[in-house]
Amino acid sequence: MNRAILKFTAMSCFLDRIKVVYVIFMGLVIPVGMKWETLSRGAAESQTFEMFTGSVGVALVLTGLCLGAAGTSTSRSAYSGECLPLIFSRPLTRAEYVVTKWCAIALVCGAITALQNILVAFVGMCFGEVWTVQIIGAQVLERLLDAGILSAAFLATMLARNRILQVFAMAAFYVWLVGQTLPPVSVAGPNLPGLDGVQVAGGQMFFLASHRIGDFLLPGIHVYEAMNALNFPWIELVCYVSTLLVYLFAAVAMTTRRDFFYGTD
Amino acid sequence: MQQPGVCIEVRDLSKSYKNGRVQALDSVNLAVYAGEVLGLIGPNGAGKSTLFGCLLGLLRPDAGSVHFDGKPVDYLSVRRITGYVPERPDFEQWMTGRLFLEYHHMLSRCDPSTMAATVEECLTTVELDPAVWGRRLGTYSRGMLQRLNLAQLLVGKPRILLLDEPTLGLDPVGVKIVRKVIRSFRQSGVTAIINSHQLDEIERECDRVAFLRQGKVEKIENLKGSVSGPHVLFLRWTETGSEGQHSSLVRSLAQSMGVTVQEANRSWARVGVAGGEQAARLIREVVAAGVPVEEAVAERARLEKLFESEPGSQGQ
Amino acid sequence: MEPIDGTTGGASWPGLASGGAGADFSTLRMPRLLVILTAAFLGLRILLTVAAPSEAVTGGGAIPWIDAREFRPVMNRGRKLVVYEFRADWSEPCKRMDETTFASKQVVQVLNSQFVTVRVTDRQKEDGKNTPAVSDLEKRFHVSLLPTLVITRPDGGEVSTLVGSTSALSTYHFLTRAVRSGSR
Repeated sequence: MNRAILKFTAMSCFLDRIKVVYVIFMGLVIPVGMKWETLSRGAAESQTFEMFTGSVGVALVLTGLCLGAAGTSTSRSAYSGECLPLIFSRPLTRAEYVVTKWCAIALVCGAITALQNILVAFVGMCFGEVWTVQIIGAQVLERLLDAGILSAAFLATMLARNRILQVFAMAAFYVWLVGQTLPPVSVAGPNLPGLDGVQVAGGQMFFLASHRIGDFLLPGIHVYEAMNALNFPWIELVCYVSTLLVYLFAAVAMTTRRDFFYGTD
Repeated sequence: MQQPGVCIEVRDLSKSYKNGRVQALDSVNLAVYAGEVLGLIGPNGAGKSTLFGCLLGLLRPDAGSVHFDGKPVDYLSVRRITGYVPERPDFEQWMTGRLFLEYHHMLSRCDPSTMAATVEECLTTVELDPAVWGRRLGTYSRGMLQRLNLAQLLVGKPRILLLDEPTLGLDPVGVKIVRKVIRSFRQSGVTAIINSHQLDEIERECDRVAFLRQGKVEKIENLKGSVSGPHVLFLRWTETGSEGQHSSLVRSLAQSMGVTVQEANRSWARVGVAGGEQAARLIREVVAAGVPVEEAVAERARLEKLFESEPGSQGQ
Repeated sequence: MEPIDGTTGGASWPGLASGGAGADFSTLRMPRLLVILTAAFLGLRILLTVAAPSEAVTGGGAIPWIDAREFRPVMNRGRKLVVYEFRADWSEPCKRMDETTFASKQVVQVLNSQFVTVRVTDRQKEDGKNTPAVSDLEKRFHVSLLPTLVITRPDGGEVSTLVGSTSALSTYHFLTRAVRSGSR
């Protein structure tokens, strides 16, 4: 763990004005506002709201922060020899760099969305909802875990210089993201003929694909359920930790590649 | 094994890109002695940046090795004592000048208690206006950024320095600062390799110059120390009369010694001497003949000539 | 040329400004701990997946769903709130909700204690049309999307509706809110 990188990556998230505005708006104002609005109307929470307060919310905050924080000091490589990074002339190992960057980003993202969850819970409590310390604590932990795996996936993708892999990763990410925002409903009724039927079937498949991708590439842990379950869901925990470690391992391996700093290999 | 006194040792370094299609470095051999300043020159695409990449441990060569004081360059201990001035540094827009140097001070694993003092010292050395120390880097001019680039080199108190085009983007005042910095670390005995297109600054500050072309070290010129072997002697005197009798006197004296006169004018002449001894004898005779000599200096082989020579010429 | 700064050609490494002496190794070194942990957890994961192949976590078994075709108001002796779950067997969102929401201890607890649970299964895709009981209920509550949860009072008055596959926590809050407002 490198103190300098930890400190300055965290600083970069808060000292960049545009990032701060984006994060406060997307991460705090919108979800809390939505909660207040729906409760004051007496309506049920929408799935969009759920999205903002769950792992997708973490992803939205992360994309805002990451478009700068993680890219620091890894070089541009328009052509070979274009730009050699300064940071790696310093005494730090590649592994240290990657792991510290991951920690900093995950902590910042996780903290912001955890705060958001707490505010949302507070609003809920004002309207009479039941929120115990256990539930809130579980939510906070879940957001931190979500941030952990999302940051690791992001970092691994950004450090992988392979264009094809990056495109594939981004596509998978967007399928997951869009799938989360699609209304999670099926239309009741008989099989629709022709194009409509295809559309409905397509929607169903997209929904399924999105959730399968989420389960495999971005697993989470349902902390509250785990805390109260009769049998602790070991498989869920092991899936999460193994996927996280694979991402970190891949990220470190990428940076120690022969010609990481040059586009050509 | 490693020769005594050699600080930076490059042995048979080869590096290619695109699966061998582009040969960036071809069996480069270089030895830089401790306390020496080596200049690196060559045409664009000669492989200088690749060489720097290998010296910094950022690129893994196909063959050969690079050692600093006997250790491989990707080792932590080597990183600790190395300083680097990149040609195109990546600056964070949100950082201030002071924060940037603090960041690099921390990264260099220097004693945190000396941080504030060292940062201020470095900022003062590069003559950055104290008013801008607290301003964001996004507001800095090109020249200011390059000065900051130089400052980050000093912050880690390195013993081995690698400078890639240190004067890029600097005005004459800035170039003077670079020269000042190079001179200061020459005095403290650090080893340096400087890559620059500014040939005159190289000539002034470097002990030796390596000429790189198409991935090969074609020539290594020794710029300092006594000049042995044939060279050109430049003589200048005060010409009082209008007939130019001093000039003809110098010419006849040179011819009698068997020294070729390459160029001659009213008040100066360039003669080709066989060595230091002949040069000294000629100067003595000219002075004894009553010519008021003002300047007598050995001309080094002009570095530009290296660029003009045919590719594939034999190395020295 | 003699080294000016006193180094002895590699035998001794001069002290650094910070005096940070310690193990010296390549900056490209892959930490052993990371390798070991990654391999260990991957192995464990493969082991668990193979040893315990997807046990259907359908906590739906913990909820005593009454089929819509058999439900009669007279069954509601406790005068509890009634929750109708409109669903279909082929619907992915419905399956999702079964796996996550109806397997949640919180949700199961509140359903069992505060509600009479009725399951309305739409079979238009499989059979072409629904049974009268199902289509009546769908018309009555204007249900076109699945899954939908409709909560009614014991006399039949509608309390609230939740459309779409929803997380356990949100469903829990939906149910408890209905309990609070429905009991007024």
